[in-house]
Amino acid sequence: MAGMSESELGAAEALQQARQLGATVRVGSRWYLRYLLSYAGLSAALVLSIGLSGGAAGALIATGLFLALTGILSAWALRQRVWSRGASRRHVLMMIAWGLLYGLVLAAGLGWFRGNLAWWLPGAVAVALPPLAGALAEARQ
Amino acid sequence: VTHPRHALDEVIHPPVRFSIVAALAAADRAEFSYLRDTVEVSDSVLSKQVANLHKAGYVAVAKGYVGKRPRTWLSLTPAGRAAFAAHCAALRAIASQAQDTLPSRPPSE
Repeated sequence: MAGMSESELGAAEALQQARQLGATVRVGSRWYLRYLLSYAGLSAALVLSIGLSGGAAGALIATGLFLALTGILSAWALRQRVWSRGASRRHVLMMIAWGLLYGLVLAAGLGWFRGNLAWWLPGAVAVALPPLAGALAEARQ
Repeated sequence: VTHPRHALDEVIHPPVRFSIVAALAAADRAEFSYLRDTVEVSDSVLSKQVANLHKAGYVAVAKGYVGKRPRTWLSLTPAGRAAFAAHCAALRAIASQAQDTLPSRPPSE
């Protein structure tokens, strides 16, 4: 930085420091990416289990297991010390999209496609899409 | 012509406050202890500087509990984000002046 005055050098250093702090915070917020990937996996497993279990008992066990595991996941998320920029808003949008897709896949699947893998497999992928899209957005931060 | 240093925000300008705001700019919210560790200051220094930023309306402070543990969450307000963006723009203008004033070729010895 030859040729820079003291104040110019200070300005460049301050900007560099801001970039480094931003990068540190983004690394600290990576837990949310892991959360979203876990949620996507659990959602897909839940939909497949309900659709292919062939009975109410299997669906109840799968739902109970899902609630227990997502409860643990949520408790872990609450303990995290930093949320990346925009994560709160994206999380609300993700949950709304997830809820709508989950309701749609289950309503149609339980009505007309019980045990039909051709419905439940794409349905599982569709329900996993909102958290996966969130994970992609998080990874791009 | 007004020098860009006049556009620097006096509340954000001190180094510790600048670091606090720069870290919070990349987050929706951060816990007090996380910010303390990231900025590498003591609890008392962070408390004092956060109080100044809060007084200026740049930082919001929220207290709550995780289980039985008390937590303090810090976040930038919209005014704080706008002030930080303007401050960084001024810093970029100052830094770029050096580039503009540099000779296109090194002076001959």
